[in-house]
Amino acid sequence: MIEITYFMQRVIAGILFVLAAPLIGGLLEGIDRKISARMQGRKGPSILQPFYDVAKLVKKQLLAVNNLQLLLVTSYFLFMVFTGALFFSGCDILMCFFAMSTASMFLLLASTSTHSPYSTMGSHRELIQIMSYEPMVLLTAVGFYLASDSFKVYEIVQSDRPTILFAPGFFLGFVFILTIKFRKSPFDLSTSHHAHQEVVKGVTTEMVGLQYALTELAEWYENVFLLGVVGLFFVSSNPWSYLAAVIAIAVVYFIEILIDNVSARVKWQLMLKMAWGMTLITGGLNLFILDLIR
Amino acid sequence: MHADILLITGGINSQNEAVVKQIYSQMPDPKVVVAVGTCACTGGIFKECYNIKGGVDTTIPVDIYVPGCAARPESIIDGVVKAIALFQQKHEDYLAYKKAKKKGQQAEFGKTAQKEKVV
Repeated sequence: MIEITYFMQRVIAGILFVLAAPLIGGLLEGIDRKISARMQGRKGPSILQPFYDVAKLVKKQLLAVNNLQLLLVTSYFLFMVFTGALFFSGCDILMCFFAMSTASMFLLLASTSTHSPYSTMGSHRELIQIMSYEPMVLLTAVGFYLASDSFKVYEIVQSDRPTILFAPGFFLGFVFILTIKFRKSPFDLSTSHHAHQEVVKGVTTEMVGLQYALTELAEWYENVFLLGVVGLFFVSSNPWSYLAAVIAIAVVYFIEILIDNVSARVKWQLMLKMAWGMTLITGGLNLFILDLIR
Repeated sequence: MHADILLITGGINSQNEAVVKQIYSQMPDPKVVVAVGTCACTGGIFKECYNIKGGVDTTIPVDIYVPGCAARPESIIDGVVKAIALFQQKHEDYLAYKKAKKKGQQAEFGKTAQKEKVV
């Protein structure tokens, strides 16, 4: 009986994510745009502006370069929703990261299927970005395993002490690659949220109307999932730890916005070196120490 | 990348004609075109040149004309404000058009340009 109710709880958490993540993701982007504008001395749009934008995009004419692109963009969206639903229903975190990589692959394929020079260039850069952050993403899963002896999210949240106590290095490394995942300066190589970047719009160059709305929505789902992983570092069996997780998420998100506004884009060589160096120093060192004391 | 309103600031010649046409066709409906400056409106002093076709409306339908050489900032702002109002109106027209199409009725959209002038 207890087993069944617990299973139901997990299913409900997954469904709640699917319903609430676009709202939270959209609000986060609205807040991001507002804070960024204030940092640059502008007034900035309303916090609800991302929702207006997506609503407008959905209602516009459906223009796809080819049918394949439409299928791939839809797959990107569905896999991103799937990734988050897996995570919030407490499944295997390794599985979540693999599903996320699959989703990124679909975005890449959608971008290359158009044969446009700008989106091809964007996809080359997106590949390099994936290469830069993927080692740290996998190491993060290892960090969770070493700290709580399980890859399962529902077992990690029931551990006596939060993961951050054992894996501060993994946490730092993960926050570092979040800048790449959120497409923030200085690592917004493949596509950017700012209009002034040189490669027009990178991977999303050839996406308009409904397709662009889907990529935006997928990004909101992805952001909520990634911030969920940040929160997972702080969650333990103590109910107060959830408050700590929310505060940590807010702080990390603010730091990402700050970094976005005070740094200029770097070349891909430097990004790769920095990301791998950071992975080796933070993740590697933490892994080494955990291995010694265990 | 996505565009709703297209601002063009120069005349049409045989080199850029295809480019302008392509950009216009890449924008999903509903869309608004604003021609900024005398060159974009009519071809201006280059009108008689052998390679110039004329204003932007020789190639794609123009909704709002902002004259002036150079166009004053105030009139450009005025043109953009008018374009936003027109975009909202076109948006509603487009939704009505899609509804009618769904019901199988005869409907037309985007066949005529607004041809409004900012003074």
